[in-house]
Amino acid sequence: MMRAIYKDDKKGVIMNGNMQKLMQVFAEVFDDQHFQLIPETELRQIKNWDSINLISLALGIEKAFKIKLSSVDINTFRTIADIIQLLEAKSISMMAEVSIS
Amino acid sequence: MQFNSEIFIFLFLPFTFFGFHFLKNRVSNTALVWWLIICSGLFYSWFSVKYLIMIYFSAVINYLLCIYIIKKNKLGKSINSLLLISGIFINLLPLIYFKYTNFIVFNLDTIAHFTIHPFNLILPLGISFFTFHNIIYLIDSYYGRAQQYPFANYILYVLFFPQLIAGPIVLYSEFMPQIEKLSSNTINQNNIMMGISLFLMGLIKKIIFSDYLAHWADPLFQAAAQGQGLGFGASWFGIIAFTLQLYFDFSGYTDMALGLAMMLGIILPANFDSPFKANNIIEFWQRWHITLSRFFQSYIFIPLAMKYHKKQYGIYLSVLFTMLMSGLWHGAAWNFILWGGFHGVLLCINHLWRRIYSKAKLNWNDYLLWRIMCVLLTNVSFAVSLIFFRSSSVQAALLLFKNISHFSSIASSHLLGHFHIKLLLAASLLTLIWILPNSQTLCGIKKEAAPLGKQLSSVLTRISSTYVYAILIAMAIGSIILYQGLRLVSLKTFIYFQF
Repeated sequence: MMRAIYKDDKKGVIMNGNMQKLMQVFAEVFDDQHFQLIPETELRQIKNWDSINLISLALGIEKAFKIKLSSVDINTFRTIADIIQLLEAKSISMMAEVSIS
Repeated sequence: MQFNSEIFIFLFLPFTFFGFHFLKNRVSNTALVWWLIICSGLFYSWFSVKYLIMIYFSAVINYLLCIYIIKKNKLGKSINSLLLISGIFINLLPLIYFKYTNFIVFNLDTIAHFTIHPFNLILPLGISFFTFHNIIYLIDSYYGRAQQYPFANYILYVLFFPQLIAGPIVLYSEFMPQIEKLSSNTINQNNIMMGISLFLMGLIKKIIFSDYLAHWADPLFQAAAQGQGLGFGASWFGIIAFTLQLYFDFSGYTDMALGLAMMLGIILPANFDSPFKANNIIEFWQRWHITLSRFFQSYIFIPLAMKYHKKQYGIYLSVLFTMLMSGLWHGAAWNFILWGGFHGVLLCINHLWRRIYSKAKLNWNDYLLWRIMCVLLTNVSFAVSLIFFRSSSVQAALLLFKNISHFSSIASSHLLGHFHIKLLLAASLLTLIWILPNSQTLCGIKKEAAPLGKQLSSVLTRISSTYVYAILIAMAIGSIILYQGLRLVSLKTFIYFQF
């Protein structure tokens, strides 16, 4: 067993519950139910990315994970991976349990 | 010493460049950093030795304060908060003194009828930029994000000559990793040639386009300053000419800064990304003076919006306040504050429209004609806002606003007077800006998916390592200097030097 953000070319990102929660936050903020959570995506490349969406995203994450984000935390957001990393640092497991056979 | 002066191009640049590459594999990384510090000091001392000492001391004090905060981080939040507030105050004090004293005096005289005479203050060049670099490191040290860097590396972060006078505003986290491996970093011939190309593109933007456009824009704004009414056509022509002048001036300066850094193996963040191709004003500000927008977003907008988000208008007021601060940063005068406010209102309208567009599930953006109209509206909005930016007073700005909205004169046959040809030239320039890939794409800093950008970039990469190209560059620089030397155009200061 290993813990990792596991990507499968055919199935996309294999997600645990928290990762799905994060995807839901993105889907709501960007009003896109098919939003793909790709860690390498730069936030500014997301369609309709703007500063108000950044705040909505931060507030959505705070609400979904019951945590408090500081301005400095938000300033570190460049890619989706940065957000995942920050949540991990706040002891929220974002990694899927993947069986290696 | 300006980037477009003969002394910089023929003396300072070769001295710094060859010195750097000679020392690169012969001395330690620290010695190489000190070489760049010495060269940067020499560069600034051309403006003022007194102010150079001031920058140096402010950087030293800030560094010591940050190290204290980083090391004693666990001592107590209240002590650290006190140090942070005093640090920000110490950093802002010279900026407030040099930039805003006379504005405060002017308002006291006007409102309270004081009779204080304005002070004779000369603004130290680049004061806003080195102040911001100091503040970024200070705030991040307080929040435990910054680590301790060697003293010399920090001094170079503040003093590095390509970014010292007018940015880009670089984050220490972008700069320090590059400085740490300055001597081991491989700089190939291609990087150097691309750096030279970028520098040259900036030089052409400045001397050929910006300085020439200034001859068109200046008389119109000077006439407005003297209260002379201009016609509808002349006023519109004036603001279009100034919009192009400002773009070529500032993006030209940035290209030169990025090119210079590239010649030394350092990649600075982009400050422009084809702003006139933006579809809306939100996108425009994501493409124009990017590093300043990033600074204001990180250190003013986000803290404010996170504090006042409970009411929806709290976030919109944060946008407005951030843009007012941006206006005040650009200049200590009411017309700059109005300029910021104007953009704040435009951004709020744009944000509201985005929400309406999304909720109503509209698909107008799928139509080319709609997109063209959006680009035009964005460009015109920005050009109109520059009336506040360029006018010498609010009265002059209001006069120009009156003139550009005097639609009844459209029917007049002498609408454009003798501006026909010039307007055609300005329109051609704008079309080129819309069609061509930008200088960073051409020089490979930014990878663009658009086929034209890709092709032109690969052509430039292929020919850049040939001798023919080197000769062409030498000839281009030579003729530009000759052009300047013959006083076909006079050496003009970059617009953003005043900020």
